Amino acid sequence: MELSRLEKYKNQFKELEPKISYLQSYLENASREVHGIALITPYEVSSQSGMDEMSALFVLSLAAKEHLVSKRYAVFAEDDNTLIGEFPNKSEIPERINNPETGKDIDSEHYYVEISFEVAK
Amino acid sequence: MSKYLKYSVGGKPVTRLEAIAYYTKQAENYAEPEKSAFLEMISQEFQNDRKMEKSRSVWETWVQGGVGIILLLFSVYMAFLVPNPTRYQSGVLWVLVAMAAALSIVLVTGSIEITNKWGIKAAGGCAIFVMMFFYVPKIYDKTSHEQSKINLYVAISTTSKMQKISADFNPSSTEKMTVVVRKCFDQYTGQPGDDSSYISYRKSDGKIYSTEICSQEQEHYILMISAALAGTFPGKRQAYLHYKPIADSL
Repeated sequence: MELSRLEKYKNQFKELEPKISYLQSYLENASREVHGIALITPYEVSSQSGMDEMSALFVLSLAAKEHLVSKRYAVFAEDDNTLIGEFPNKSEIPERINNPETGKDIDSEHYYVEISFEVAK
Repeated sequence: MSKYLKYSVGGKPVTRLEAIAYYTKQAENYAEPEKSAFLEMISQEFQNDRKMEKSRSVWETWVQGGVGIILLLFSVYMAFLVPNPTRYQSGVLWVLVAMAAALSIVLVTGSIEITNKWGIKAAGGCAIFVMMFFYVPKIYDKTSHEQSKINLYVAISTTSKMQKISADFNPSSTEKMTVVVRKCFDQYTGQPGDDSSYISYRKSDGKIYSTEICSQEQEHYILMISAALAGTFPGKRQAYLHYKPIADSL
């Protein structure tokens, strides 16, 4: 994983330099995991690093721009927070998705999306 | 109707607007260039997030487009069938054309969104309808204006020349043509006349008006021959045939 690709952004966004450094080490650890980390969310990065969710989302998006991670839209059922689907872009999210836990179809009023990032293998 | 996605932000599901507000509030704490970069990202991520708008099937698209095209062809047919429509007929025809255009726009790729001077906003087929309904072409306005006039060609006696009178006329009126023609003539002469003292002919074919209603009449060129003058001819038709070329030359 060429994490050095993020170096240029440290010059461009001075205020985010420590956050970009944190993400670099975070992604390095993640890629070393034997089973890998399926999905990284801005909320998770924010909770672990103390950075705000906005900057976590932004630095993850920079990583996605550099093809270090790929953006995914994870869809969860609102009732039981079950992961009911993952999509590469929002336009592919269907109006109704089947919840494999309950067997019921869930419409867009009853699910939510978590912007996530998958570590590129 | 379009719906927006819900997002998980701050560890809980929120609406799209709440997500935008949450991220924007955090972005506001930063200086440039980070702030602008954050706001741009928020815009890209959430602004064009309209989803779940039920997409039309190919069948729906072609049925809707087909109805639009049929309406359009029907409008063209009507335009030739009724070359001089009344103001009311023109209005109906214009609404028909606007509907035809709005329906058939599904066959054209791309999108349209307009806001008119009264602040009415519309998109897609509705935009086309609003645009056509409110932005009437000048040529159409001119045609309508011309239709609001009536032209009288009046032959009073053998000693006087035929007169041409152009008067205001309400083409959507439900009054009898004979009454309206009479009123126009009285207004011109300033003297109230007698309904039986003149014969009113349609200039194009010599049809004599009796019970016809203004709104049903498409031609507004009238030949008026005094009853006394018409009596000098063997018949009313001969009187018309005699004065028609004179009216045409005016």
